[in-house]
Amino acid sequence: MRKIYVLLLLGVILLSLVPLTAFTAPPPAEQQNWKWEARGPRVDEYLMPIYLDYDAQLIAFKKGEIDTSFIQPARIDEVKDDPNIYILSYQTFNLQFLGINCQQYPWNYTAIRQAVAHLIDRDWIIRNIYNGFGYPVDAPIPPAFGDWSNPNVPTYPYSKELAKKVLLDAGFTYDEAKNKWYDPHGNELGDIVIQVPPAEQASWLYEEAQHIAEEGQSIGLPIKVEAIEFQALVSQIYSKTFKSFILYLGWGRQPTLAYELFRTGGSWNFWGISDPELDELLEKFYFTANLTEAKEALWKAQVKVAELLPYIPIYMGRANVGFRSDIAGVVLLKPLGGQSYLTTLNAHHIGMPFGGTFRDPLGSDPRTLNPFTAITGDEWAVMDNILETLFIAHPDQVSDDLPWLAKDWKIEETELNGQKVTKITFYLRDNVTWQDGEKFTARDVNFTWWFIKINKPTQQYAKVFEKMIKTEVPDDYTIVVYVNGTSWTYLYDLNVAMVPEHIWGDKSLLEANGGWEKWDPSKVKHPTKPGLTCLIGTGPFIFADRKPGEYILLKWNPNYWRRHPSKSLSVKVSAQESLFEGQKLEVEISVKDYTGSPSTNATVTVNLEQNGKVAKSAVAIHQGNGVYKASIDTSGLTGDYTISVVAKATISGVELTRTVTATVTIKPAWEQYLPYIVLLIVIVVIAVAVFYYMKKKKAEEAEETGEES
Amino acid sequence: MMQKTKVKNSAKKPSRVKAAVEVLKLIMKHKKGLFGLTILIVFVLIAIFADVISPHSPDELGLADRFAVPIWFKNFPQYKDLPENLAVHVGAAEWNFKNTIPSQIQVKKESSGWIIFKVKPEEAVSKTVVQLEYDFEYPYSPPRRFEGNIPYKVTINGEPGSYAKILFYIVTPEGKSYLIYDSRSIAYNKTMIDPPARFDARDIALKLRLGFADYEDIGEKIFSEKGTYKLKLEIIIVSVPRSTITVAIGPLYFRIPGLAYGLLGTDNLGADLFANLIYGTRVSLLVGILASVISVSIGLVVGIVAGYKGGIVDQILTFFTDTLLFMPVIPLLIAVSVYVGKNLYLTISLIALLSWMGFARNCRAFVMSLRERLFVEAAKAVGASDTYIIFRHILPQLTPLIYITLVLNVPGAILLEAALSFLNLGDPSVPSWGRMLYNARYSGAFFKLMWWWIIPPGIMITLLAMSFILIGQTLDEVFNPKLKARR
Amino acid sequence: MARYLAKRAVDRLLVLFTALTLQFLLLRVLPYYVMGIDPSFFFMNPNLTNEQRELIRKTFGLDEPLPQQFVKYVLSLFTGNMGYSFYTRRPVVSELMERLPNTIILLGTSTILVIILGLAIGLLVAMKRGTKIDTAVVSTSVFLNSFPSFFLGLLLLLFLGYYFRLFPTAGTVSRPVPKDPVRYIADYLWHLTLPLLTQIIIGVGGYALFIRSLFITQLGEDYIVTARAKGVDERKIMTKHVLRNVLPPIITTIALALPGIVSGAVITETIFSWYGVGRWLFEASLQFDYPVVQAVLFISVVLTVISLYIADIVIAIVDPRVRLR
Repeated sequence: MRKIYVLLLLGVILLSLVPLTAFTAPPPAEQQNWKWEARGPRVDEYLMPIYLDYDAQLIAFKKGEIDTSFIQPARIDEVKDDPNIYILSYQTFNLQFLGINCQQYPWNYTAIRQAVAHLIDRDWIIRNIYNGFGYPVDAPIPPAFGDWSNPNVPTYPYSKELAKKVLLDAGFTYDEAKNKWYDPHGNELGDIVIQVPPAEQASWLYEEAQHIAEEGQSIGLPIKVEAIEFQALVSQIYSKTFKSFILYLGWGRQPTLAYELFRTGGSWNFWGISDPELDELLEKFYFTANLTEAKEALWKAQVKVAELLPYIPIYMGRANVGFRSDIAGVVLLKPLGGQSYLTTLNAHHIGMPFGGTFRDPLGSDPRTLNPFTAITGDEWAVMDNILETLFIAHPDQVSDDLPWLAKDWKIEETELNGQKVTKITFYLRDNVTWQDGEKFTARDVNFTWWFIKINKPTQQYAKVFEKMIKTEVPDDYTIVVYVNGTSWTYLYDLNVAMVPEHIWGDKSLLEANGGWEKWDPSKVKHPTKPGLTCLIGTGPFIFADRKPGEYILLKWNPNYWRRHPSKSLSVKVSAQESLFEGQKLEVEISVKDYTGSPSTNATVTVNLEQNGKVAKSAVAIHQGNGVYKASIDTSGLTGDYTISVVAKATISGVELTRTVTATVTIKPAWEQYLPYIVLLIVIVVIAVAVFYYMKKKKAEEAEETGEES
Repeated sequence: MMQKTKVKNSAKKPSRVKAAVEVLKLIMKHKKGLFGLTILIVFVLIAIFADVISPHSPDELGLADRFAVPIWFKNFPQYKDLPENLAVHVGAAEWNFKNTIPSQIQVKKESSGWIIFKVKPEEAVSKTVVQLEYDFEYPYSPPRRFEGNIPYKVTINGEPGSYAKILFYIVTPEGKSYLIYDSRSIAYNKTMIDPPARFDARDIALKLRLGFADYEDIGEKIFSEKGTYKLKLEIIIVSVPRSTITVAIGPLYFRIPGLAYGLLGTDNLGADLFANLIYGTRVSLLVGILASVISVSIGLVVGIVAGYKGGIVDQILTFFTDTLLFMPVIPLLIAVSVYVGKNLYLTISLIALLSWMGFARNCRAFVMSLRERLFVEAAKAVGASDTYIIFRHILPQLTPLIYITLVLNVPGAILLEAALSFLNLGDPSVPSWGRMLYNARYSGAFFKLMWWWIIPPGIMITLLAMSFILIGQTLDEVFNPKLKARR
Repeated sequence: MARYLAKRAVDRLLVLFTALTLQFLLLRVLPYYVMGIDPSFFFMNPNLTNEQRELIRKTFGLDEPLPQQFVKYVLSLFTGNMGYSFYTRRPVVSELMERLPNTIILLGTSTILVIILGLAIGLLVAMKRGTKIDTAVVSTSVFLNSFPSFFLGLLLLLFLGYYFRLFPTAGTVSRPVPKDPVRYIADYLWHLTLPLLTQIIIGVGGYALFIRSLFITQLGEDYIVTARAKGVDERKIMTKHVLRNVLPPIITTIALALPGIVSGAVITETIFSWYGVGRWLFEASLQFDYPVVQAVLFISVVLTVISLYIADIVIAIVDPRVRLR
């Protein structure tokens, strides 16, 4: 018995002696040189398998069961040596910060906040807890925002000495013997509490807070860490009963959030700061149409914020995303921000420019695919492929806009009923259709906006909808909106995911399924189009299938308004250029699908047309290997004809049609005898000529003999 | 633990000591009991002497590189060359001066390891480059990273224009040199002592500057072979006329954290896993015993009151006990832990509050049977008070049952606490075994097949729980003849 | 008999109601009124107006006074609609139905196997008391009893899932899901193996030990010894005396195990990422999704009550003496 145990243990030890290899695969050339295209999608299917367990996801990724996976900083060792995987890294807009309740003792002392800021060793935290994947940030508006960020704000470098100095300068006293601090009123300093939730997957935040606390305790500051469940912390933050917390803040690509974060009574102002000077600056920043003015005001506001220090920025993350080495077409936003929407359109397998499946995992099961109640990133990861917005971030410069459903827009300041208003006109594209075939028009945009204004869905209801006065739809592809006041941010807040009026405006449909808040459109059948659900958009992918807890499957939208022209059947026609009436017109057609493999199940119709009228028609018969042949009797036809070949084939559930034309000239039947006739004439002419010549010669001869005799 | 309880009792009734010793002797007679007791004593000793057994506390981070393997792995051929911690302090005495220092520069080496360069005012602009080198042997396979720091202080007096620059390089045996730290031109007074200038192979900026991808380990690239490496410090001092510039360089600290460390290696933050394992004993023993004592106390009070009083009191208490028994304990514990957990003592109380019902029922049944006995009836007839009867007649009869339950409740509490910690519902500041397994799971120890991290805590939990079960069973067997009535 | 059963029914119903009240206090009153945790906050966006906030709280039913909430809570549970999940906003019942099959398959199979194996091993060992097999079984059972269940799951995961890659490490089926039904079932069973194994190993040791001690106690009772001394046929002793005394506790344990088939195994399901009720309960707890937590706990209490009541009836039939107690 004992021997078995020893053997077992030995086996375990031997197993761990796997040789260590090191190999880092660079991104494939096709990915490196990829120039994004605003058309697609290149793949046929977008499969989103759900892996609630990160280990399971990583195993699937290493095995090649999925094409991409987010790589946690601590897990990078496990994938970086895999030759079948390459990693793309980019900086995100996520800022980690220490948020402080400036109303609570002892955090209400600015000096305490500044001293704690001096005690945050950002380098240590990033290196040891995040394995180096991050950039230390000490400006309230991170430098990632380019010229929005003021580089000359007061900063609080890590230094215990400076921390002490700040406190002593502010009237705090330090009893070195007891290692205790006393506030300016002479009372012993109370606990400075940092609250942290147990981070999603590891106790990183706790470790981080613990480190700050230890730094503080080493100079006698009573910093304490309190672990608290995320939900409970959120409750406390909203009710402003929290002390201070370390969390992440997802800034958008424009720093509009600053207005709500630092303004008196701002909806994100959990810290309870109130400074008239700051308020004025923020008003200037927000309510102006002039970006230069906005930036100037924000620069000044940042200095003020850095002095008040309601929140202490810590670091901005760097994300690593792994891809299988046969994937190309990933579009990263420049200079930072992550993957562009265009990745959805461009991603494909190398060696297979069109077709195939892109498998992108989800980390949680989407609760609902309702764009007005969705919250989690995974829910939006699905819907982003289906619903579209008026414009998107430009992949080459993230702060710029790339027109999408709107081809252009115009912002004006005017007056309406004596009030200063902003008038924004969007000019929409006229070739966009919903996935069920209906046309996308300005009325849909109008509907979506009013839907948000009336129903106030929590995620989309921004200030602009509160202040929206009226909209006008002068024609199908123009929409004008009037918003009270002036702000450069209106444009961005109006850019919401568009929903079709003919679904969402159907009151009885919504009511029958529990109302707009409760229904999940992906679970309701489309009222008219079989095979579709009520979750339809204008996007490149159509919601196809879902198994709770397992996967979500999207199929490409063959009628996508930005469909890639090369993604269709490739049809080659060879036929005679001319023939005579009554002869058989032989047409040979080779049909291949967009992946390059011969299409054997196609229906190929050959029409002979003249002036748009079909004169004759035939169905080509498959000869094998994607080659089809048809022969058409041409008796009764003359003149120039168009051979129009219509090939139809179904590829992974989508019917593709491709029409290719060629021309043929049909000459009258007698023309084919022309050479003979000519020949005959020639012969006859020659014969006649010869005859006459002979006759003439004979006559001459006779004359000669007559003279002689 | 047994002894402790007994000592408490003995304070009241000295005769109990003898009884306790008797019980202990009886336990020792049983093979099972002896085995259980031995394990328990070992665990108690570990808990008491945790500080002595483990050289580090589980809170100490960065003892070696993260995910280091146990040091004894180096006995296996594949791991023979794994790097161990390697640290050098290079002070004034250790640096080799590579070039001659111009005469206008005063060099002062201090015993504390600092070197002070002082440039006196000159008539002309002068530029001096001082090169310091230090050679060291790197005898291991490539490490993952390196780290270190240089304290320095630059003081500039006089006309503007003077500046100093401090550069730190690592030079490989092949002669390739990597610029690791660049202070940039310092044209003002600057003190880098608290904290000193730090460098670390994990910094993204450093990786990108040296031309590596940001997911690569540059320690592995730079220390790619064994041999003599050079640490090179370059100090550039430019001084303009009529100004004094002083550059003080403190002892350089350079470290390559090992990939083999300690008896059980390190976790994802470079903390000693062995320390975690040892200190975890304290937590588990505390949880087990405290929870068991609380739950037995509650059960005892409820059981005695219900059993002795009878009638409506009994009905209410029994009903309450039954209701709690009907609740699914683990799900309820999880649901409630979510908002009251995160603190060891709260967890202990919760476990105790949801596990006393079984004992209360046993206790009630036993007390009910005792109540009918002659000696109780007799005492009642004499006019003895209820408290007197309970303490004098009933409690002594219950003692064996209390002991057994006390012991047998411990493993349940230990296992529950471990399970809660494993689900991350435990106290994060406490180094428990469950938390150790939780960390293992969420930092990819399974993926990395780090069995030396996963298996030991499990074995410890099992052994500790088993020791209590064995002692409990032995006690049961010892007391069983006297306890027939409870069946 | 009928009176006895009626009295039992009233008792059980009372217990059920009290348990419900307790759950309401623990899950709804304590966190909200004592800890200040408001589940609706999770859905709030700082941009909301106060009016909107109230609206959200209203949809969660958190704006009403406590007694009213309690009545609604009890009514919704008993009418079977169980309300809407705070988190997904979908009916709890439909969410439950998605997960229930997985849990029933896992826990049903393991419970049945544990009972059968435990009975067989326990009986065998009780008969062969004192032999080597007995010692082996008893010591193994003691070992298994002190083995943390989650650790067993982790070990199986480490060795059979990671080292040898024999079994999947997470989920109920592969992705993409096999289209062919036969392959789907095979794939499902393949995923089922590890959690099932964990559940069986955890359960069987304790159960065998329980059965063993039950029989040994009975066989050691005076009347059996006397009967044996009288020379009564061994088989008759078993069927007539022992079984009658042994059956009630066995039936009770089975009755107590049954609700678990629906409420799931929290830890095993969490470790193996099994898409079942147990893990759902854990996740819902973390999300403060009370309707879900309450519904699962409610179902498990109701099932306990029902299955114990059925056990009462069965025991009353098997052993008429209980009716007299």
